[in-house]
Amino acid sequence: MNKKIDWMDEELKRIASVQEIDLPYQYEKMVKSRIDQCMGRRNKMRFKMSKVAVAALTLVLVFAGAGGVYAAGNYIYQRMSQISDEEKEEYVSELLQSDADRDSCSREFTQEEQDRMIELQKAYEQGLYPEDSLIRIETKNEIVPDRVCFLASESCFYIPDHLTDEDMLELIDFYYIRDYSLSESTDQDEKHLVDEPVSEEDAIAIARGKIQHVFETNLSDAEVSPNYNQGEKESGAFSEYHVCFSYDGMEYMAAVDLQNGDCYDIQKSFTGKETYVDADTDSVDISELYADAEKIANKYVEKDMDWNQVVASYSESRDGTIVKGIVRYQFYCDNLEVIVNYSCSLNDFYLVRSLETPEEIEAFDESLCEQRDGNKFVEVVVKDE
Amino acid sequence: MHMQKITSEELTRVIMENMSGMYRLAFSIVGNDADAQDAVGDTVVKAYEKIQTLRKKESVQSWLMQILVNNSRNIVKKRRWKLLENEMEDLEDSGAFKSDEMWPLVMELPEEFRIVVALYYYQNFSVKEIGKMLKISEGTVKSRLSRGREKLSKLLE
Repeated sequence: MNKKIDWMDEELKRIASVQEIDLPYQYEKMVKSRIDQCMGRRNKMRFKMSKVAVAALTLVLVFAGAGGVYAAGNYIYQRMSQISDEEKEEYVSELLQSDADRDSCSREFTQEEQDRMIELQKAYEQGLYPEDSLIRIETKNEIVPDRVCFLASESCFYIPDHLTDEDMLELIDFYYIRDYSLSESTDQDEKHLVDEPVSEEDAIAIARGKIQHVFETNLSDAEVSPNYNQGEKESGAFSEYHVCFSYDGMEYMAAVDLQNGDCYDIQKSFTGKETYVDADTDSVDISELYADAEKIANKYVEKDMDWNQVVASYSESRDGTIVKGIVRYQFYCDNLEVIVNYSCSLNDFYLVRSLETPEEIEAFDESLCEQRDGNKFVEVVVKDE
Repeated sequence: MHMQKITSEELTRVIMENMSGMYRLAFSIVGNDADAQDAVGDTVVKAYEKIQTLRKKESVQSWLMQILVNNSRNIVKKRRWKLLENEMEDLEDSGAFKSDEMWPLVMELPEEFRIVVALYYYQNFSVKEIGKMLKISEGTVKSRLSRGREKLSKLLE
């Protein structure tokens, strides 16, 4: 039988491999455009970080050590701490909007000016700041002859014929702030990475322990397959491992939160056997199964609960069968809701989970609606205090 | 914790190589051209945003498809109107699959089976990889494939 299945699979893959797909023209264009947008932003950010110093100036040397290192406690750090988020964003936006791939100046600096700038840079790092900022202009018509002006669209500095100390400090100040703003901005990409006090090894141990406890099985010889996942909930970014154990024709799965070690969404299935097959309504006795369902729910929460209410439910099709063969037990106590699912096909409980967040409850309610569509929804109150 | 990171250039290459597969997978979930394109577009953007979260370079393809499945399912959830299975045929089709003799049979399957069939037969992911992507057991993957195989066996007659 396996050989026949293997043959079928090979044939179907072969057939699939030669099927042609005629992608809509605008689809390819759309994908390329999205890629360009995403890559464009990343490339600009990367380029601007490395090319921020003007090649024509000896500022290349002056700023060699600047690269985003702002040690707390020094004057520079204090200066940068005063920059608002709006200002930082403005610096970054200017860079991204510019068509130029490097900064430029309206003229070269004299040797005297370069020497003076190096001296002033040291003084700047010791707390000597300009009184004003250089002037940002949108067109060349706005150039002020005796002030340093910056035209963002061209990334060009318009330098007056004679540079004062104030002018030079404004230039130095601009570079430091822009460098700082850029480094803050690229750090945002890293901010979705969350702290993970629970390691992969820990997650596997937690998952194994929980599954063994809930389903009363021994997984010490099981093959383990952990799958890392990171996502976002209303409370923020989170990460988890979905750990799968395979043993003796069965598969068990559990999810482990890597922030707090909570274990949830525990499931099992028989390898190769379908969990969701419609079943006759008389194939299951809800009250008879209740005791076992409660045992699993209590093991899941790790204490013997006095549940306020227990409801069993299933969807009955027009043919009089239990849709997908699933009978669901919902255990309620105060704000806690635990769900234990029974599969008529497997003749066993196969899933236990709790609902805590509004998103989980909404998703669960939606799944019930899908089952209810066109079907009769049967609810049996097994316990109600 | 060390992560072997993928570069954005490498990600670009993977996306370009999987353009057709991504469209097909999205379509298998959302059932129409416009939503399929939206799902893929959103996935491309999200992939670059989340590039740092990819732990193993060699898993980039399955990681990408996982994002796509989630985005496609979100699109379906957000729809104001519910589609019944027999209304899928009435949806505006881009004509992308008119030459594909297998696809009409695939689209007759329920959604959870279509996804598995698309990933297994068209994109050659393994049962294990599919299980990880969809967060279901390998047994469930196999049983859904079994149903898919039953439907597709007509092609082998």
